[in-house]
Amino acid sequence: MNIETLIFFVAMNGLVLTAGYLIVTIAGHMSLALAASWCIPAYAYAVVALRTHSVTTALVCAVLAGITAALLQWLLSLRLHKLGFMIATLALQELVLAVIASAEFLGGRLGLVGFGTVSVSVLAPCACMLLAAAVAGCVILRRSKVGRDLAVIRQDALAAQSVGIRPSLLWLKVYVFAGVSLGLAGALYSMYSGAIMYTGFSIHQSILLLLAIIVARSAGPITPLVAAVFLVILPELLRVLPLGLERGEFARNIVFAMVAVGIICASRRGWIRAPWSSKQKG
Amino acid sequence: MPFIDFMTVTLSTGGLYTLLALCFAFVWWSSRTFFITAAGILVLAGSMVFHLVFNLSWNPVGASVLAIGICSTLGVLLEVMVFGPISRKASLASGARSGVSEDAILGGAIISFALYFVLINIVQWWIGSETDSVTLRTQGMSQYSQVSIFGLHLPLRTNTIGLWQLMASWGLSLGLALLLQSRIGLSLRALKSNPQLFNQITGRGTWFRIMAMMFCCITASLAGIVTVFTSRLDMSGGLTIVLGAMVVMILATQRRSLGLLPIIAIIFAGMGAFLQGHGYSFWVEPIVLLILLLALVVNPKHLISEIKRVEESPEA
Repeated sequence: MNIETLIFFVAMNGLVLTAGYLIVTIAGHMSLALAASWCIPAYAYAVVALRTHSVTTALVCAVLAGITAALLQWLLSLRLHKLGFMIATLALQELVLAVIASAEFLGGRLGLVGFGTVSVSVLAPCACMLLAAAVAGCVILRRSKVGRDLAVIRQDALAAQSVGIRPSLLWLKVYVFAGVSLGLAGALYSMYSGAIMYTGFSIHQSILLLLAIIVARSAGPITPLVAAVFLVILPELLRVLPLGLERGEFARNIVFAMVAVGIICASRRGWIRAPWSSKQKG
Repeated sequence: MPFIDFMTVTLSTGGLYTLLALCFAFVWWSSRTFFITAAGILVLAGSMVFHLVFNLSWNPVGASVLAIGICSTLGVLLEVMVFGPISRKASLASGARSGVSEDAILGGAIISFALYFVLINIVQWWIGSETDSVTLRTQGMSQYSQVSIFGLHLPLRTNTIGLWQLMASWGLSLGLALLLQSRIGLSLRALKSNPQLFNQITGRGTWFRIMAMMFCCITASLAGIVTVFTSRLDMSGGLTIVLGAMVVMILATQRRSLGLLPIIAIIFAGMGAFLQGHGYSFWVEPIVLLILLLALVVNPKHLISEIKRVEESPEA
């Protein structure tokens, strides 16, 4: 993989992880539907690009599809919390993939091809700029009134509501931001690959994204960037070992999962209190 | 599909789901662990048997016994080294009056997913991720044949393993259900109300947790082995089976009664067999997941309601 492609992959994964960071860390919802939410705009771009041959229209549709995918999760968050939300998003992830795989107009199990590719030399700078904007947005969000209110909700949701803070509206803003990020990431994926198949967005991808956020969570607003760098660079670094690329990816996955387990096991209270615990006890 | 074949498929699949769901309920009640790692254990056991029988020409029974032994030991190790310490820390942190907090449950679930991910990647490392090598094709392993029961020659297009699966899964399910209704079941109810208090009084909380985890791992590995012998198992197949059993568990315990469990399992298995018979096999999983989503949305507090009640109760 050349350096330009590597940068592009870091930036594209960074955009997905920005959405994950917003949903998991800022909103405090453990979502397992990140890969499916990335898949929806990618497919939307492919379908629209195939029919209209217009990159701009396809890009707009992808962003709208990303927002829709994020809003689906927001709707679930209104009724379900913590483990309930996690199981529901797991179900949503599998449901979305099953529907895509069975829909003829989305190519079914064979996926979609032939909607054209954009050169990585064009995509890489665009993706970097988008990631920089997304990270800047995260910093601004955390320091804004919305970010402060969300921090209060994470500390004590009941107390926050009693002083007039409405979590659902704040979460809506976060999810829309996450949706835009997912939409752009999905469009970038389709633009780069020129072919799309649902198998690339499996539950394992969702688990990996979630674990990456947990592993890099202490980096603050640049968590998505740090997580993306590890996610993309680690298999490349493992290439120096006689493993092969595929085994390098498996090794990366095992390392991420073990580090995440280690982080949770090493935490004083038996779970990671910040940022998603609701109330300090004891 | 003839009616008798339909019933055999429904009952054998329903039995497997019932047994798995009972085991997950056992683990959930004893440790509040959403034990999705079982999906990884299922795939690990299946792959192990496949490798030993096909590549190393082991006896299938010996390979199965070895796989079950390794997987149950792994389950005990996970409980002793990971889930147990996490739960104890969380119980201490959440105060003496309460059981396990919602955050601790979430932490346990994340660990469970992470361990599942580790197991799946280890298996993929071992076997490879290309379709030809990952898919454990064992269609020719146990030939479909006409079988007779009690001297009656029935036109069953099933195999002997299918019949063994039917008898073993329902037998074990009945045994476990009776166990849960006995004195052990009463202890389990006390344990699920307040694990910390139960452990302080009886000192047997850890024993219950280890037993539950071991039983669950044995069942998951059995399910993996059965799947390898009767059809085919791929890397996401384990999660599909475990998720189906979890759906049965969650739906059946909405009213906290075990009686619903086999009924829901049979309904789902029957629906699956019916849809497969009519060429709509792909819609089985989406329909089941949609039902789960609806159940969670309609009754969102179910999974944590008992803990909250204990925390809020002045007597606790």
